[in-house]
Amino acid sequence: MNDYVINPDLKEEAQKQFADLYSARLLMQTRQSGAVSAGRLYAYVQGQHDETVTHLIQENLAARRLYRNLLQRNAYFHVPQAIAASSEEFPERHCNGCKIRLQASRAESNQAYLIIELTDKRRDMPTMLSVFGDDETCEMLELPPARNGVIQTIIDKTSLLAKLLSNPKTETFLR
Amino acid sequence: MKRIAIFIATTGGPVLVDRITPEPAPQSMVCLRRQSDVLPISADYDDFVRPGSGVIMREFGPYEEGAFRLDVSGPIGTGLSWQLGVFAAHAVYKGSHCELSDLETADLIVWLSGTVDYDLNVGDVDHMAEKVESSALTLSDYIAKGTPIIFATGPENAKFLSDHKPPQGIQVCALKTTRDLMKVLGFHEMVKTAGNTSFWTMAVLALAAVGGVFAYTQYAVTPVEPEKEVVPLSISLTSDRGKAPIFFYGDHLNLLVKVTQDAWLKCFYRQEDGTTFPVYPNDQIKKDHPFEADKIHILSGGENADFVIKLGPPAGKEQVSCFATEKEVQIDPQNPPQDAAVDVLKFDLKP
Repeated sequence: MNDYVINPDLKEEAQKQFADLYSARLLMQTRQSGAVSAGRLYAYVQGQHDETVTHLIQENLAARRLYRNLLQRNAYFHVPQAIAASSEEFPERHCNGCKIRLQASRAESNQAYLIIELTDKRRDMPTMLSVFGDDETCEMLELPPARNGVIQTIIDKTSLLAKLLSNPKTETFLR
Repeated sequence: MKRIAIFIATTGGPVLVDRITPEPAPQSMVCLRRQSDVLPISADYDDFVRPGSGVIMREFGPYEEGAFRLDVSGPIGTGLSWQLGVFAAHAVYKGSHCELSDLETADLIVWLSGTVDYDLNVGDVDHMAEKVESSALTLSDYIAKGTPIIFATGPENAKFLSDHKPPQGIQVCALKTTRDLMKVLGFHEMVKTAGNTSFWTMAVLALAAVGGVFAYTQYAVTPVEPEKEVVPLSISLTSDRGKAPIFFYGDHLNLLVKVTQDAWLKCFYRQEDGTTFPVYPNDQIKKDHPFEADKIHILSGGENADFVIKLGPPAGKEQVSCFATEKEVQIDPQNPPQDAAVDVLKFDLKP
């Protein structure tokens, strides 16, 4: 039996290598298998579109925990919780360089603008919002491209995502 | 309040501008059917609205809110040909005497395709034939209904449309700048900046050349008629419910008339029992005047009309006859002059 010891310093590099390897294999063969490897999940975190992984994260608690774990180390922005509980329907969330807020639509009372404002307009812009509830539920939203440091879209106020964002204790990641 | 339906022409069919709402958001967006589906043209729309890069805030602002939500009835793909329709929609939204309308209750339908640059010049676009083709079915109902319809595009596109002889009831307007669009919509006072310094020269030349206009309202718009032929005087008379309508007691008889040359008009109403009386001119008309050629005139019932005709007993088959003459003459409806052009609107009047 061979033992492979990975230096902790090289762990992230190894994860990246595995994700690249996975992407390369995906290009070479389109055959889908039922299992989802950690490399595939890591590639997903890195921005690889993968419906199977999306479904798995929503259905499987272990996958959700692993996804959250990977996000904690790879997300561009992480807001553990809203700064303070307030009387507002949707509390604002701040972290260094980023503000996330919901603004009710005047045109449609059951819809709200999800507005993500980023201070540094030169950096890589996030493409995915992931919100984790205190009951370990998870909602993800693919984001439109940022314009002038602002990402804006519309969500239904009755959606699970809006419900999670209305709870100050939920944890949000932007990747 | 004039109700104007704005159609953005697309190859997938005409898209109605349903609603414009100022919103407290950083970016303007285009949404589909009042849902949370955001159309991909939203980024371009935001640029088109935003001061600096766009023209909407500059021309129609300031607004308390910095962005708009524009709701439309169908998807709009790539390209910028929606700009003219969106500009028109914002003009109507800003206008004090008109409002955006649905199709059913519209007093006027304006179908637009073209770009609008920073200097407010209107640009021609591609795929005009496909856009017209995909709009035909939707518009046919409203042509039959008698709702005035204007096709407004850039100059070359308008020439293309005119060359293909649009059906009666559709007016084609060539827009060189958005000033021309304002006239189509009936606005004179709204545009803040000069669209193009050559506009007035062009307008005067065009008006001198053709002497006619294509517009629903009383304002002049440069028509597309490269060569003005001498056409014989003729008249077409219809109602806002079409050419063979049914009316009931209490309904308003809204008459629309168009002549091919500048002409004087005399109209007579004949009841089922044979009684005939003049309806135009009448004692509500302070000063009679010749009617301008190639323009739809609202004779009665419209916002700008001098009088209304409210229908009452007796019921039966009634008719209105309108006579057009080059010179002002007295007309006996039983024995009109031979050179008078005539058109008759027949309709059923029911209790």
